[in-house]
Amino acid sequence: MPELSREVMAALALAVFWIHVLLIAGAAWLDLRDLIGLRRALRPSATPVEGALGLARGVVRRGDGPGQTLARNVVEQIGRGKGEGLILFNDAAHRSEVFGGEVELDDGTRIEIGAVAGVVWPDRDARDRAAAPSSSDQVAEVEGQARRAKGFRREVEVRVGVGQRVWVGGRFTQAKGWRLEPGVAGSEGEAVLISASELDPRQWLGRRCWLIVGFILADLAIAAGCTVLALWPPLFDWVSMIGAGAALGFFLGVQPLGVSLNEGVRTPDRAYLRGSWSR
Amino acid sequence: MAGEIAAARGTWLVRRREEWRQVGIVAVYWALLGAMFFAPAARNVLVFAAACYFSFLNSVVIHNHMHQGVFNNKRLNLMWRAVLSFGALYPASANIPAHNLVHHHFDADGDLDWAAPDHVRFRVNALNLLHFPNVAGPRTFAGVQRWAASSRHPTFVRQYRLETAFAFGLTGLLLAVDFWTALFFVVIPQLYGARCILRINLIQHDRVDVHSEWNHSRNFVGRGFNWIMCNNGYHTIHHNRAGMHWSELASAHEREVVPRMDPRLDEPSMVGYLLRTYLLRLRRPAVEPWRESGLDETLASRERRRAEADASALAESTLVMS
Repeated sequence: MPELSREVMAALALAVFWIHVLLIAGAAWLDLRDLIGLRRALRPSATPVEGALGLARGVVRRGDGPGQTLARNVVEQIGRGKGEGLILFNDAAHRSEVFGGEVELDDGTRIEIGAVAGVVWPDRDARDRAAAPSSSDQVAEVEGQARRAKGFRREVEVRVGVGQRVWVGGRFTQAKGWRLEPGVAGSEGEAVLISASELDPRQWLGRRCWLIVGFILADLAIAAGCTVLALWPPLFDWVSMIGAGAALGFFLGVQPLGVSLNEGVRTPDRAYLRGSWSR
Repeated sequence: MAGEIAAARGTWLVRRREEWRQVGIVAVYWALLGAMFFAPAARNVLVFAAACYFSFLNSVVIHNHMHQGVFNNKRLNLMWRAVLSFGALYPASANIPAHNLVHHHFDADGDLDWAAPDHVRFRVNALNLLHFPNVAGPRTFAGVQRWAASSRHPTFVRQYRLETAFAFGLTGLLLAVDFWTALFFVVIPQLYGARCILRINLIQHDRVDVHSEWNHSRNFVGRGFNWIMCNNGYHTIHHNRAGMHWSELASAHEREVVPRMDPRLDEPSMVGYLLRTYLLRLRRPAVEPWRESGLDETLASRERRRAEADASALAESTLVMS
């Protein structure tokens, strides 16, 4: 049986390397496509237009949920620890709930929102505050539960209520008055967007889109650089060897980077919170 | 669990005579890698393909060994983990949290299993099969790091590091001795096996109902396939009875699973399934409504089974308990 030459093996290795570089770029492209689609649906709309998708800013005037809440974002977490004063949390689920209410837009238009499917983007600082322990005594109190197999279960809840400035996105309709209906992509079909963050959701989405574009370009550029080095003449000499070593390192390293990117561009309603408590 | 192990027919060295098959697989794999590294005449398509296949089988042995150690001696079992880790270029002990505790119950504390098929979403299904290890691998190792930080397994981190050091140390040594030969004829087979065992998660669980107790897995029931795969084709029963030795899975599948599962989830051939699902059709199949026939009152809850798996892994890893 003929021997597999270095050239044949190098070609095989480079082919496998590039297939996976392109797959990782392709997976990032899927995330980019979703975010671009969401950004397109959230066209700035200072004044609502009948039947149009849009994004507007206003103040919550009425909330139909508990404690006059318009909507809330909940992260279910399970905390575990060894009993050494540190509890590490895993996210078990991310939930958004819209209870309904009324928002007065900056142009004075009042928008009615029903109890419909929604994605609720919490203010990041508010979520961090809600996730923090009230005191070191609280950490000590729950350590026993955290040591057990079931762990310490909790919900980190961020409410959006009366008086808060919000961004609202969806389809604006007018019958007896203006209403906001589901129209932007949610985790289970169309939804309304309610963001309690100061940051314009379009700006947030734009930044994440550029991050993904940067990742894709860097992925391809570094892979190309490794390939050039690996093929540097004379083949299989020192420079070529460095290139192949770099390609192997990049192959192993770009995979967790791709996953980190995928997690990092999750919209704020389902962004990982995780975190820890320590005494 | 301990009772099952104690009841097994073994020898002075291995817990069961069937384990020699697993030892043989690993010995053949090391021989293939050694032959290619040291003898240029062995660097041909046949030996290379065999090394890649046996690398995958080495990962199957990791899987089995992490459920029930091969040897009677616990220290030997821990050393065997290091040997297996070199073959797959990842620490075998990662299987404890990633496979035994999370994947078996399709649930990382309510979040998606680290190796859940939903992590890939290309419309062209063959791309999902190719890409799956790129996302399942990093999620697994990140998950293992998080689990280790709060784990009550006292020796896990030390053992994990030891296996990592052995696997990467020996591979690094081979690269230092002969870079190109090691890269082409050792590292590529190692990575092939490790990535294929991740792909098995997609093959066995894509488009099935992970919430069902009997339709959560696809089984591959060919006899020859299961001989060399140490019965890893019988996946439903393995998930439900993780403490059952692999040599008993075939009969248990017939006895417990076949009467209850949707018969379409028994596939006669994995090659046939792969061709049909990933090559001959472009799109990912739709989620089908699977029929379940009857429950099993003796099957413990997933939470209970997870706790048992945790206790078993702890017992297998802790020398002072032997």
